[in-house]
Amino acid sequence: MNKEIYFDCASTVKTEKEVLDTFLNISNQYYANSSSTHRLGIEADEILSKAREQIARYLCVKKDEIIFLSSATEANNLAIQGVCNRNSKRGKRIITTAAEHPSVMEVFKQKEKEGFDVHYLNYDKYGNIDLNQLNALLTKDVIFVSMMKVNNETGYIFDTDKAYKMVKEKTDAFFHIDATQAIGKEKIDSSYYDLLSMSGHKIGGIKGSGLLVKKKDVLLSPILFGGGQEDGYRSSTVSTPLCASLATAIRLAYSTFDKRREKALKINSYLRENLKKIDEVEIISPIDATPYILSFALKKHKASIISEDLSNHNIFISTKSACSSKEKGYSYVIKNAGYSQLLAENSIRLSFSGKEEIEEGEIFIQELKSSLSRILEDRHEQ
Amino acid sequence: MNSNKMIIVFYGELSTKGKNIMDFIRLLGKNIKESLKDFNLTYDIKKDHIYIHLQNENVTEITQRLKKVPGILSFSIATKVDKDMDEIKKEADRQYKEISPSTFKIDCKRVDKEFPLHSDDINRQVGGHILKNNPDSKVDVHHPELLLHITIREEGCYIYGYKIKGLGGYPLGVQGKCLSLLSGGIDSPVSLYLLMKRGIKVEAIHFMAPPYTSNMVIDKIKDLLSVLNDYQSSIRLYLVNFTELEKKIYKVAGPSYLVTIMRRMMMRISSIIAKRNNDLILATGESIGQVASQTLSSISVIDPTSSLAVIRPLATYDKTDIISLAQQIGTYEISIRPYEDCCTIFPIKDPVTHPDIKTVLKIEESFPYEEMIKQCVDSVAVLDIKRDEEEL
Repeated sequence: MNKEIYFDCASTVKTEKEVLDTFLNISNQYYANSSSTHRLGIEADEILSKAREQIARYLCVKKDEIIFLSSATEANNLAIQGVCNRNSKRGKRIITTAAEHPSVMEVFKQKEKEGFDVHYLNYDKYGNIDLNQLNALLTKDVIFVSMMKVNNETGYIFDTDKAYKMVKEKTDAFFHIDATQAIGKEKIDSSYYDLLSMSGHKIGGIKGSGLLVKKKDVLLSPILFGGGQEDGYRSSTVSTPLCASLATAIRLAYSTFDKRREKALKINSYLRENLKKIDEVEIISPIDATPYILSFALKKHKASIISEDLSNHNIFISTKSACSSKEKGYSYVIKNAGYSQLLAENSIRLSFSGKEEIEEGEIFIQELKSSLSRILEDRHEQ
Repeated sequence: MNSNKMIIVFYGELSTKGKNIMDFIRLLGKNIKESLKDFNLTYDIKKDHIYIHLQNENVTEITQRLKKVPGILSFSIATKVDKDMDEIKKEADRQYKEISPSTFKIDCKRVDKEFPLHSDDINRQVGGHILKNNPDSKVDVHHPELLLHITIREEGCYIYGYKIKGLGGYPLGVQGKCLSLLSGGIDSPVSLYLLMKRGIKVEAIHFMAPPYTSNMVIDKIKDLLSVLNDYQSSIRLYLVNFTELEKKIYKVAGPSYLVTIMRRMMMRISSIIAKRNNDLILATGESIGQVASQTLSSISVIDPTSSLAVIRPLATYDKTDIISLAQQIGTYEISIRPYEDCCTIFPIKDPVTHPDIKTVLKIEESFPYEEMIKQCVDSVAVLDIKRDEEEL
């Protein structure tokens, strides 16, 4: 059996040891509720403050622009619902892309049901958002625009800076970016967004930690009501150890940015080169996608079966392809880019953390080839 | 390219001290190193000056930090060149042009006795070179605007002239430690700054009254101390929960004597905490006459409750001057954040400006304040506000 090859980092990664150390230390030393007014509460609040300041420094925002919460999904929900609920009197039009993660897509669909004028921007196989379409939609009625920075399935890097400028030129809408796959992997300019979502576990933080950056002048209603923590924006006892651990995770990600990127580029490049040589493979990620994600489709085999086979050989990847005959799983992101249903149903995503060695890539290619020759081809058209 | 640059630090009042001078200088050296610890530098600590070798580090950033180190009178950025007359003349001319003074003078010191020319020759040659290349230049041997120093040492020639003004005062810590009351208003942070400048290491004590006072005041206090971290890299903050005591005082003293009695209690509590932590004196940001509790009468009724001496750095300052200073050091904007401190939570009507000591004593006898003071002292929260803290 091979050593474990984990190419599913876009899904999650192992929690960093230092992050766990911070969590444990803070849990032991500062266990009081940071909202308590006694000495222990103040001391815990001091740690929370420190975490906030440290994160703000790395993200190049102000410390009071950070709202701690549990995940990018929660951050996306707060951003979208919070802005819509608070600003609906100003306008009813909200815009996003057709490539968004379900935690954005589903919220927009919900808002559509509630009567908002929702529009989804198209994009092409190269990751170019239709900015003409966006431009035409920018009227005074627009109150919110949400665009992911890096697409989780294909690795597309959307030009959010440009979109931000366009939106701000013609409207007073608030601009949100889902940066879940971008933090620690791509440069993010904090001048070109009003709201930013991120998730801790994608960068080695503890699962259950996340944050929303909300710039000072953004009008937002909370979606959780209660004790009024996080300045009223997110009621719930704040987990001091979790927030501290998130600060550690962000520090580690930013301080290893270049080193990891170099490795991600190397393995991505190697895999791309060798996948191209396999006849039935069609590479989906464009060359200028993030180096941390490499998506391709199989023209002759069922991706779900190949994925299962690889898993039996200790290689872990991701696919939207479903094993059941009842439910045809497929990637709507790939479909919406203009690929055929067939390719959208048989895509495989490889994703990295920047710690991978080339040997892992070599083993992967070997095993993939072996799997493709061993497993019977699926009877579907080319 | 900074590897040929060096900063020369000049002392202030230290220069006049006798046998303690080396202690002073060593402490100043230590404080400078602490302030510049994230730079890669080497130091020469001598009796007359401190030399900092820059080795490619950022001069601008270092200059900004040095301007906030107490005990430095002034400092100069010296450029090192080879011991070659052409190089020396070129650099001297460059520095002259940078300042463009109305008058100048060259002062040469030849530490390296092997150097072929005498100081006078060097003065003449360099002076002449500058006069030749700068038509408007003029020499003034008595009161030159720019005194350009040329020091010929073994390893090279150092040229410097322009003196950057330092903070003055004494090296932090040389005068001992004090406990200063910090309300978060405009005055008290300025008071802390003045103490630090004068070489006194400061610990701060803040009286809070939750839930009447909010956590925002604590944030404000921490932010103020972070600004002051530029002068003192680690500041200990004592937070006293004053709510019960203040409520009781309000009940027994009434609005007129509330502040007088409160201040007496604060002095008692501060004295106990100061003594426990080896602080030599107490300090407050009070300014005579600014408010009712700050009249001479009030002060003379309040101070005896302190078992330590109390100093007031801002005693004779006008409010406008205090505000100026606060803006200069960067605490003003933080101080004016609108969060109430414990002195404003109860309505104060006609606060007494000339308190009667008999009335004061009668009020205090009517309730067990010693017990309540003990509670305050026992439940004090201690935080250290530091610059360059280790990250999470």
